[in-house]
Amino acid sequence: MNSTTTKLASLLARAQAALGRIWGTAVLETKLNLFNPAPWVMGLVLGAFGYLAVRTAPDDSSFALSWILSHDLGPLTEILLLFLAASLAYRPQRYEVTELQDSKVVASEEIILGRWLGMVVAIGVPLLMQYLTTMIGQKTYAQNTLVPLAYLYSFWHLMPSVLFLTTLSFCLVVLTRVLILGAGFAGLLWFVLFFGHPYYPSVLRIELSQNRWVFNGLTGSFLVLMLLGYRGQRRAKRAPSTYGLAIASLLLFSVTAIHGLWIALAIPGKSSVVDDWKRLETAAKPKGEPLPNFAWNADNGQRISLAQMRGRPALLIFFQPKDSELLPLLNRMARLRTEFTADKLGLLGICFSEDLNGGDEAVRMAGTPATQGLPVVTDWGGITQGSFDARHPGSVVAWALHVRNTPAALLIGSDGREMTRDLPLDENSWTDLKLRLSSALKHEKLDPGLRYNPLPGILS
Amino acid sequence: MQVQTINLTKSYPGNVTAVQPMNIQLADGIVGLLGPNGAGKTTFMRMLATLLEPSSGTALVDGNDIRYDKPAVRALLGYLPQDFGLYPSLSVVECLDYMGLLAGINKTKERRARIETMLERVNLTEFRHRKVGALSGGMKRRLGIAQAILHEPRLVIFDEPTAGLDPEERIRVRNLLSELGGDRIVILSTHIVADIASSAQTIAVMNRGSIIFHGEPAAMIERVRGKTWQVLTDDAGHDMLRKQYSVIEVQREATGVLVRLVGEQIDYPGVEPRDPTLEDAYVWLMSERTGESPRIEVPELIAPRQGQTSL
Repeated sequence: MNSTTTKLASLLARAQAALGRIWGTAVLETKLNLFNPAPWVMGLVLGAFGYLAVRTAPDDSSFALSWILSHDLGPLTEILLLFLAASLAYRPQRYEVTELQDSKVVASEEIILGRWLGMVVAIGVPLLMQYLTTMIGQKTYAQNTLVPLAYLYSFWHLMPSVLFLTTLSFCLVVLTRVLILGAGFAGLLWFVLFFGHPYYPSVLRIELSQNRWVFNGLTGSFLVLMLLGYRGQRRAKRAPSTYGLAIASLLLFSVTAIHGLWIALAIPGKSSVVDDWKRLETAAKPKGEPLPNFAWNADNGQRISLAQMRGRPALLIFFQPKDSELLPLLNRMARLRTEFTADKLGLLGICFSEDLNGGDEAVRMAGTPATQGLPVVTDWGGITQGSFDARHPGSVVAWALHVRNTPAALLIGSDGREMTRDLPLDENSWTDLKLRLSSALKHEKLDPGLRYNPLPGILS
Repeated sequence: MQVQTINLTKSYPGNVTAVQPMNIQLADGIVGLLGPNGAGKTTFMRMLATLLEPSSGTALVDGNDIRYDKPAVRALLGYLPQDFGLYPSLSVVECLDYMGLLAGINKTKERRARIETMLERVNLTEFRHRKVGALSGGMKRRLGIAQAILHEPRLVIFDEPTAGLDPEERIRVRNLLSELGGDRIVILSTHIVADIASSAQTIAVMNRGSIIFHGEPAAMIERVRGKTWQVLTDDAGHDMLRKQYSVIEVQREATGVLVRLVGEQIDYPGVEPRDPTLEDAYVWLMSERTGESPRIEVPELIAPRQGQTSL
C-alpha cells in the first residue's frame, strides 16, 4: 500500500514537473512569437478584411458579418494562418538550441508541445485582431445591434479548420525542418479540401461544423504522431512514452475514423442529394395536395417529420444562421408556442444551412429559457434561387416548399395542406401575426383592413 | 560518481567508425580529453550525453545505461557543445531561467537563487539583463557554462569550451573550469594541451576513434622522458628537422632558430635533451600511434621577441 502511494506520488510529481516544463516552453514560445512581427502583420491584413466586410456587406448585422468572417473569408484566413504557422515552426535559431535542450531532463515531446501551444497563441492574435476590428467596425458604422455571441460562434466555427491546417503545417515543418515542404503540403491539402469537395455534403468538408470532431481528431492525431516521430532517438530504448504515444495515436485515429464514418452515414451524400432533387423535380404536385413529407434527425437523435404534425395545424418557420434578426425571431417563436398552446398549434423551426448544427446552435445562442427546447431542425443546404443546379444543389426542402428568402413562415392545416404563407414575422407585426394566425386557425377569411406587412420571401 | 564504457562503439554507413570499441573508466575529477580534430572526441561525448545512440556497446553513468536510462543520465548531466545557440532575444537571466526549468529545477525560487549564484560564479552579474544576442563570444561561452552547471550535475561535459576565444577570455574560462572539480566528473575536451595542463587530474588521449592513453598527467609526461630535445639551428636545419621528426615548438632567436622536438633518438649536431612537458607527451603519443608527425593546433611559431622579425 505504502509503495503504491509512493509510486503514485512520484508519478504525480513527474507529471507536475512535465506540465511545468510544457508551460514554461509555451510561455517562452509565445513571447518569442509575439516579438516576431509576422502575427501582427497578419493581424493587420485580416483586420483590414474584417473592416472591408463591415463597409461592403449588404447586411451589417452581427450574424451576417460573423458569417462572412467564418464562412466567406474563412478559407483565406486559414491559408494565411497556415503559412504563418509554418513560418513560426521554422526558426533556425531553435535548431541551435536543440543540442542544449536535448541534454537536459526535459523530453522532446514537452518542448514540442510547448512550441505548439505558443504557435496556437500566436495564430490566435491575428484572428482576434480580425474579429475585434470587425466588431468595432460594426459598432461604429452599422445600425444593427452588436451581438458578441454571434462572433463567438463564428470564431468557434473557424477554429477547428484553422487548428487542423496550422497544426499540420507546424508538424510537417518541425519534422522535416523544411519550411516550403511543410507549408506546401498543408497548402495542397487545403486546396484539395476546399476545391475537391466544393458543394456536396461530405465528411471531408472542413468548414462544416458537423465535421468539427473529425478534424479535431485529426489535429490531435497529427500532433501525437509528430510527438512520436520527433527525434525518437532521444527516447530511451523501449521507453514507456514511445508505447504510450503509439497507442494514443492509434486510438485517436481509430476513434476519429469511426466518428467520421458515422457522420458520413448521417449526412446526405452527393448521390442522395441529386436523387432527391431529381425526384422532386419530376414529381407532379397537384395544387391543394398535402405537402410532401420531409424528415430530419434532431440533435438529440429524435426523428422529426412533417407527417408527425398531421392532425393539428402547424407553423413552419424557416431561417438561416446568417439572418440578421435571428435571436429576436427565435424569441418570438418561443412566445408563439406559449400563446397558442390552447390552439394545439404545432411549431417547427427549419434552419437551412450546410452546417447540420446550424439550427441547434442558433437555439443555444438565443440562450433564454423560453427558447431552449424549441423544436428546430436543420435541413442541409442553402436556398436555391433559380432552377436546380446539380453542381450546387442547396436545400431540397427550401426548393420543394418554394422558400426563396428567410426568415419566412408557412402555416399548414391539420390535413397537411398549406393554409397560408404570407405571415409577417418581424417585431412590428407581432399583433398582426397573432391575428392572422388566429384567423387562419379558425378558417376565417383574413380581414383585408388589418395591417399587412408580408415578408417578400414566399412565392405563393 | 563513475562513468564506465563497455565496448562503446559508433560507426556510420560507409564503413566509417568514429569510435572504436572503447573501454574506459572515469572517476571524480577533471578529465582532459585530448585529441586532434576528427579523433572521435565529440562523438564519444555525444554518446555519453545521450544525444547519439551507440552502434554497439554502452556506457554506464553512475550505474545508468545510456541506452535505457536516458532520463536518469540526463538528470546527472551538464553539457556544453562546441557550437551552441541560445535565444538571442532573451536576456541572460531569462535564458538561464528557462534552461534551469528544462534541467529539472522546478521551483521558481530555487531556480532564481541558483541563477544568482551562477551569475556571480561566471562573472555575468552586471550583464544579467543584457540580451544574449548582444553578448561577446566569451560571455556567451560563460553563459553556456552556467547553463550546463546550473542544476549541479555530477557529470559535466564540455566540448572545446575555449575554441575561438581571445587569450584573455580563454584564461578566464580555463580558470572557471578548473574550479569545477570536486565530487563530480568533468570531461573537458580540447585539442589545445594548455587548456587542461593545469587543471586535469586525469587525461585521456584519443586518436582515430580509440583511447591511446588514459592516466595522470605525470604518467603521460613520463612516457616521453628522455625523448624531448632542443636544438639551435638555421632555417635549412629547421626544414630538415620538421620533415623527419615531430617538431613541437619553433622560436626564432637572434642566432638562429630554436627548435623543440620529440623522438627516440635525434641524429642532429648540437641537439640537447630537455625536460618533457604535457604537450611533448601528447605529440609523442600521437606520433607513436600514427608513425607520422601529427598536426597539432599549437601556434607554429611563438611570437617573436623584441627586435626580431616574424617568420
